[in-house]
Amino acid sequence: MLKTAVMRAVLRLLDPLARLLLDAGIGIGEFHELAKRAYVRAALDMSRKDKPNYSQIGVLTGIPRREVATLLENPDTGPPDVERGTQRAERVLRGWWNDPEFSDASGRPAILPLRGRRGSFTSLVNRHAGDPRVRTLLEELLRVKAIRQLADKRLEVLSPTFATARWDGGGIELVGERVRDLLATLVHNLKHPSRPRYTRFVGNAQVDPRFVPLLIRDLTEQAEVLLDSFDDALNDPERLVRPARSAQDAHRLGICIYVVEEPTLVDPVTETSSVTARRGRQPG
Amino acid sequence: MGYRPTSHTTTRRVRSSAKRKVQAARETDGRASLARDVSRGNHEHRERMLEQIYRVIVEFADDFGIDRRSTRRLFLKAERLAARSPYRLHQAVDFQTMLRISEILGAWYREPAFLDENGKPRSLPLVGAKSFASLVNRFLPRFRIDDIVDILIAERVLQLDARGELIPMRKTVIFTKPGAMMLDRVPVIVQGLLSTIRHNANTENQRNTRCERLTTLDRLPIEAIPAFNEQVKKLAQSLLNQSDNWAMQRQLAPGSRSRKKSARVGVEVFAYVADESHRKRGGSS
Repeated sequence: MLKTAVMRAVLRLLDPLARLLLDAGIGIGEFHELAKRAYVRAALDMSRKDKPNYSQIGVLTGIPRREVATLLENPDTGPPDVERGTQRAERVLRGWWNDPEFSDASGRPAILPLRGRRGSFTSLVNRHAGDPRVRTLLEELLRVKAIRQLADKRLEVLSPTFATARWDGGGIELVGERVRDLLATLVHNLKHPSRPRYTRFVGNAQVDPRFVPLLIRDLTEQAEVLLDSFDDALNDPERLVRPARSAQDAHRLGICIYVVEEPTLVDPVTETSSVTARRGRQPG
Repeated sequence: MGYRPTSHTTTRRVRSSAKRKVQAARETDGRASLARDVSRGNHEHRERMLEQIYRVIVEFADDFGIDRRSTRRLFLKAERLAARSPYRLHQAVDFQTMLRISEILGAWYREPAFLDENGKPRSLPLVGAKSFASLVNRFLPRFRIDDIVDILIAERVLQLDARGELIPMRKTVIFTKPGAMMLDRVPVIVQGLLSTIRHNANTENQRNTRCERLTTLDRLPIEAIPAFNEQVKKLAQSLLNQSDNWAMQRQLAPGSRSRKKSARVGVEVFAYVADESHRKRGGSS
């Protein structure tokens, strides 16, 4: 029964993953190799021993002992460093698209000079990223093609977000990180119901398509305010471990909010459904 | 943040047991009376409160060029009016106009017909079926459209684009220049704040009190004040949006014939910067 539920859940989460893999030209054979690597890593993590026991991992995963040894001898490089600067870059882009000081007469994002007290890229970064490293952010945004530099050196914004501008290695690795974080939190809650990490889902499957742009706008704006506030709290220097000569214990702590959107159909009213299915609210 | 001791006493006094007891009793009495005064407030405290309010109002009148003689005359007039009937929101006629303008912007930012595919307000022609005029006619039918446009462009609430269409620059209307609408709003704010304080003072059950929250932040560098203002505006807008969303599902429909009693409720958020400079004020005595 439990195994059936797990398999159904895995199949659900494999749907978007398979779409991503097909888009990237990765076939089932390569995915199979990746799955084996993940199985071996998970089994190693569960055994919690200094020296891996290849036979035990082989029994646990169903992968031949020799292959387990090969996989463990060629570990990958660990988590990618894709988060650096992402949040600040997002804030800058958001400010450019929404702050009237950085809009032109038609309300669209203005083309900005690099420097200047007001209405420049530097003042945009200072206001929205709160970060003096203007050059670093500029290079990062140019690199991912979220902005471009015109012949007269002024800057034009091309994308409203940092993430969707990146159908490249870094952007795809970020997808892996986000899904991994979400799954880790949900699995933690299944295993430790007495001390769950916060998760909550609110949604409705009967939203009128005419109101979707409005609701997405409002959800995004409110999430931005909330996340900026969390960003401030999580980056307060007084609450961070400062690097010292020896390694010190620390925690990675974060929160992720994302919008879910897909088309649905509202079933025609029947005598029985009219009473029970008035509202399409989805529980958290 | 480092710990700072609040007491600077460094010497110890040795007292006899009896003296210590008398002293302790006196201190306890003093503390009790201070606690009583702080929590309840006596007549003297109330008079002082009123004096300080008048003082703030007199300073405010000075800033708006009302001389002391007029201030006194207006106070006496207000005293006579208060004896006849209390101040009510409907008396702020120009403030009502400001609320209608807010509703125009609210509809522009909320109704799908006026939004583009990203949920942003569309630029609107001045006249036509889905035009700025259609919004003005709905909420301010007695006003000339050109007048409203001129006011809102002057206040940077609206902008004309290259095609001559109107675009809203912000969701809320707060008039900062001292025109009729801004000036009419001031007593509304004061009345709103004081009515909440009065209500809470007379309410025993904590659940029935109205929201009144405050944070004061000392030691903020002056250069951080513009960023502080931006931050509070952003948070306040989020609070107001969420309050609107909450209320929209509960409000009675316009023109509803429901027998339910209803009331106008509101939230006002503002940031302030305490002026610690000791400037000398003018005005006739």
